[in-house]
Amino acid sequence: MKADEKFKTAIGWLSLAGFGITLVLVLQVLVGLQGGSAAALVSQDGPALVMDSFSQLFKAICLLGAMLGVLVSFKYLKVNKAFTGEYFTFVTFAVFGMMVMASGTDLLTLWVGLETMALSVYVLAAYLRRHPASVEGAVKYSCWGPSPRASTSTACRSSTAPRGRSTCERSPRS
Amino acid sequence: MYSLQPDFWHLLSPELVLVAFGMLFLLSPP
Repeated sequence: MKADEKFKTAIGWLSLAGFGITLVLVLQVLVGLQGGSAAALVSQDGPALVMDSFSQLFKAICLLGAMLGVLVSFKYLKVNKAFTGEYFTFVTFAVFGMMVMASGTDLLTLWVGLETMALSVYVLAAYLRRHPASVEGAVKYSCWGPSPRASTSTACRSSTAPRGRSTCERSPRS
Repeated sequence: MYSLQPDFWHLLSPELVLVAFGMLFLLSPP
């Protein structure tokens, strides 16, 4: 194995370690919540980022999925001659977006999480750029990806606009 | 508009660690 490939493999294992540390911290926050919930970010309309047992569970599922994905992609990337260190960065940022979405209770927070995840997944879809199926998948994703996202945002906006609030939490007044 | 809660850094420590690891890989040579 060449030194360059060794370095890239080390980056992959480092990313796995990062996911592991993050998983431990997620569980630590979950234990600290003691079954309750806590807002990390609050907007004028109400809580925007809320940590509770449900969100921490989904974060743990995302992290475990990413760890399995990274584990199986070592050989896959080598076989397809696309083994680069940046691959693991895209997976990391996609998982970050998923984690923000899991905690988001405000439309803008959800949106930022969705876009952070989607931008990384767009790149990952076209990662094997010399593979016709990968390029076709990326083109189809970039053509059809924005349309459900746009319609979802319009639906969310029209359902919250009458109240004039962007948070998904129930207002004590309503 | 948006205000951080006092325990923001503790509650968001998993996300911050994850982003830190992502930034480390960006510094790696091609």
